[in-house]
Amino acid sequence: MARRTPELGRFTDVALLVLISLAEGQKHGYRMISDIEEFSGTSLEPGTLYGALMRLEERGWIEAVQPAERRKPYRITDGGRDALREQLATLRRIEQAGVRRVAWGTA
Amino acid sequence: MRAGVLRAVAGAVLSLYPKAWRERYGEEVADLVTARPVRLRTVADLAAGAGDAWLHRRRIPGARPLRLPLAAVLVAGIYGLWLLWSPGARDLAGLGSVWDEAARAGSLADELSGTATTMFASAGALALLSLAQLGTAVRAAGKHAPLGAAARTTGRRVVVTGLAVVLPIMLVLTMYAGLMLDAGEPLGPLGGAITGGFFVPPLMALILPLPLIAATSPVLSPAARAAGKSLTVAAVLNAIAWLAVAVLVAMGLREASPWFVTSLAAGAVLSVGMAALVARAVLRRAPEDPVMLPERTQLGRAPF
Repeated sequence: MARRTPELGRFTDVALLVLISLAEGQKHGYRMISDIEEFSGTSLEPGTLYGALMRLEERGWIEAVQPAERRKPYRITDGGRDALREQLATLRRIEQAGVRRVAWGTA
Repeated sequence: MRAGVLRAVAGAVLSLYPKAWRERYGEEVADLVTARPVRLRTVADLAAGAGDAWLHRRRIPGARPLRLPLAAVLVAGIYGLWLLWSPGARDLAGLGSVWDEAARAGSLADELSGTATTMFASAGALALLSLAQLGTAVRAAGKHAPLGAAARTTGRRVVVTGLAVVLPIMLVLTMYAGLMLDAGEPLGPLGGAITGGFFVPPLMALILPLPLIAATSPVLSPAARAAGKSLTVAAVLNAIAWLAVAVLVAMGLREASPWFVTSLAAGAVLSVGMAALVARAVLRRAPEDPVMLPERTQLGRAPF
């Protein structure tokens, strides 16, 4: 998983999933849980999700949107998008290193 | 467990979150709990989330700093100190054996014991002096035109509160004096040296409401600040006295039981913390700037 961001602690991985989910558009908590389960297979519980949302909001990586309906949606900010790009680049480097090492092991 | 019960438990767990968190996210999470399946792990996850939210309360958007009421902290401090005093620190056998061991070093033990006793007593005297400073200002308050009426009202509040706390103050002073004069079982030189540390901060805490009330009046505020300075010196003397006690106990440490040392150390921390809290509270409420009275005009002092 991604490099740990000290301020996010054990929520680093969940925060990454939330940022990926919001990168395609604003979502409320219920839709985020469903979306994350769909694209990653990770089933998030509300306590974990909102622990990550609190940290992402505090860092200014996501923000609440004025709700048009009962549920309050969140959207990713420009800073959040930059942070997501950085995290994904780190993941790519890890993935490439892993693939290379697995290839050496089987050679 | 039935889903309905788990859902109810999950809803109850939400009330364990900090108020700021509930105001910000409570409705959304309650909605999730209603709309999604609730399992045992959902409840456990919410409980862990509540603990996390309390631990990282400052991260909650819009959260204000957590403030415990000063009065509650000081009342708890007084109870804590006296619980540590008896049966913790007032262990006659422990006091005697630690003193005997410390006294082997010669006159240093006597000097340290005398220093601690004098410092604690001086701290108590300074705390009482702050009362005298306020009393003088309250008596003169009514004569201070054009703010006399308001100052008189505040002065009356100081007097009424003073009457309410005079009995507890007398009680603390009587207990302190009684122990110092060896009424009941003699505490010995070490007991005499530490007693003040357990009674002076409660005395300061009982006096505290008076300068805090006085600080609300511009006329009485300088007197409240003067009282705050006296209480600050009292807090410093209290801390110095505890340093002397610490050296004394270190000298007799070989004979000290872990329970005695723990009680005394916790008592010292609580005593120093309480005294500092009282002094800081007064200095913060009574600002340094003196009251700016209006310029005098030909018609006398201009009204506000």
